[in-house]
Amino acid sequence: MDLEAGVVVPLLGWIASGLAAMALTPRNRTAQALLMAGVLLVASWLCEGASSVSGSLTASGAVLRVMTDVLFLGALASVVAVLSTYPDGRFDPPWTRSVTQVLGSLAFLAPAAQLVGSRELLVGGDPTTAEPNPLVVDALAQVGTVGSAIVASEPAWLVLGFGILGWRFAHSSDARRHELLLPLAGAGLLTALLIAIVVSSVAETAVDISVPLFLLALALFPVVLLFGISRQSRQLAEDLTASRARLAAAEDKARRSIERDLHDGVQQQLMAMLSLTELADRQLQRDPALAHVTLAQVRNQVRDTIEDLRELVSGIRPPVLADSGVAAALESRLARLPDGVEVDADAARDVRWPAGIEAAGYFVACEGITNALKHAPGARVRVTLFGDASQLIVEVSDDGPGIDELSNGSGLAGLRDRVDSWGGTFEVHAIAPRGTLIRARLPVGQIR
Amino acid sequence: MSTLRVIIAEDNYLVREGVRRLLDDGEDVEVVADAASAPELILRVREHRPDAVLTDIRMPPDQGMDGIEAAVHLRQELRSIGVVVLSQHADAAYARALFRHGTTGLAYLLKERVGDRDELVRALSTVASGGSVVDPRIVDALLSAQQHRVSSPLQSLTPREHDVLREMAAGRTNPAIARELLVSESAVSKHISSIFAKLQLVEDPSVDRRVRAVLAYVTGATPDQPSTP
Repeated sequence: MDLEAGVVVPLLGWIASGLAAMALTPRNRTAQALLMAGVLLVASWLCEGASSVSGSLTASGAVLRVMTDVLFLGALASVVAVLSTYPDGRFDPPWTRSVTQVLGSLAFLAPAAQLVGSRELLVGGDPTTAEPNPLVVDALAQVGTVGSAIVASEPAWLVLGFGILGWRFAHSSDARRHELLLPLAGAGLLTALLIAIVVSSVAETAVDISVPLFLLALALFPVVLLFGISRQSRQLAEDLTASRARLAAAEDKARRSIERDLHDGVQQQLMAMLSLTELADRQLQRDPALAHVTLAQVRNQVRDTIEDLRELVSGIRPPVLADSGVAAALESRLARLPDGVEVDADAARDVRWPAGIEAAGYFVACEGITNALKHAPGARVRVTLFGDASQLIVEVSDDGPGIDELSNGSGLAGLRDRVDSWGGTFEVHAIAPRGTLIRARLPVGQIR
Repeated sequence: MSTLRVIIAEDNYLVREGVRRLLDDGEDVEVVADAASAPELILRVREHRPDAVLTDIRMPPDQGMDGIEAAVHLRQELRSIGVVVLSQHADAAYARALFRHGTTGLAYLLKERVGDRDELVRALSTVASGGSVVDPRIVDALLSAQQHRVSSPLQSLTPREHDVLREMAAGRTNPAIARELLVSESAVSKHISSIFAKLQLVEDPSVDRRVRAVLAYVTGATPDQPSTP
């Protein structure tokens, strides 16, 4: 089998999968990294072809050889990024972002160190291609040694990527494990084939079967990733449609309740006052003292109506939220709640977020408190608000019996939708020794 | 009693006219001008130099806390003018915003007090002479907001001391508090000493300065220097 042709197939697999993933989910970081990996692999391969000419190296030839390594290591760093963010584009766990950034920097720095510090330059790590480096600076020999060592550690980068995938699998929820299973199996297959190739080349047997199989698996691996990314984007679209429908239904319900409160409450009270003023007018002729009593009734009813209206407006959207922020609005709300509810909002007192974020945070806190008081009557409830200009975090914890079975209850589902619509995250945890913690993180500028 | 010269600021024509007619209906108050927005209020005040101002909290241009900003501005520009802010909001945050630089010559009343002429006139003459008035509902809100905070010295007060503190902040004298809570005057004095000790405030027999100290405490404002009106 022609190995050159065998290389083209996996390259095509990576490029095509990357392009398809980008077309499906252009803003998904996994798709971006997949395409980046494909492009860098192809570029590295072309660069390698151009730099493989034998004979003494010119300066530009040396740069080409080093470029080959830069591009290839960059592709490996992209693969690590893919495996760290698959399938939804979030670095999970967050430290993998730093790992990827370090690898990305090394991909550039290590070959650059070789360019100035190594006496000889290779193509693709093949010792038979070694040629003297015309750009070497003798004083930098140690830098060159370190650079060479890092470049030679290429296979370890891939192992690191697979290791991250395995770590994520081991530390994930069942749902996430289900998503990671396929790429993990692919990575396992690739590793097994790679070991087979190494073993058989050492034993000098059957190389001709293992290598094409490995190349085929290498070509199929990005296709597996593409499959996962597309499934993720479909799932996202379905979730969005469903949550939009729930939000619309919730809004409709809220409108109906406002309409009922206005019509059955305030409007009826006004009617009653209308007839009372008419009555007072008639009484004025024959018994002014009685008219005085009736007018006092009217005044009391007006006060009650004003109070009802104030409560109604606060329920729709408290004015204090827009005027003074989420911490102040929450304190006002608490004034009408039992003493067992306490708030720690000092960290949020002087920060203002966009109005929608503050409203979402406020309603998460209020609904969270309501939920806790409903399911854990008499429990101590604590609301914590904090964050910075980039995000608002709301936590509601109680020391009640726990709400495991309620984590899908409609109250919390409504909150999850609301937080989701701002691109935030919503979590429900059991806390030791007893109690429940809900946490909403509302990022600024991430609206979906 | 001399006539109190007052300016009214309110953007709703019906409410403005209603309050103007109500206040003008007596020898003790003369409404010298009215205004429909915060900037207009400041112009009218400079023009007429009234004894006191009665302003709505929510007015043009921002329809937010313009009344409060105007009140704070007026108190800084013309120290002798008292300002009564009328608000639809029974929220602690607004009172805290109004009293952020001190409480002298300022009052925060809920807007439904426009139905009670005596109370309005009392508040206007109190602020005109450098005193402070806070609606009892707002005192409740302020105390409650403090109480729900994770660590507030108010939590160390007994329920009875809370009752006394609320009456105190609303400007009641010791005998009035005793009547309201159905306890003896000496019991009230004991409660007050205990409250001031727990909140680390300096005890002061003058009702007005006591109100200011308590308000400064619950709003987080810096206490006023004793002023000479």
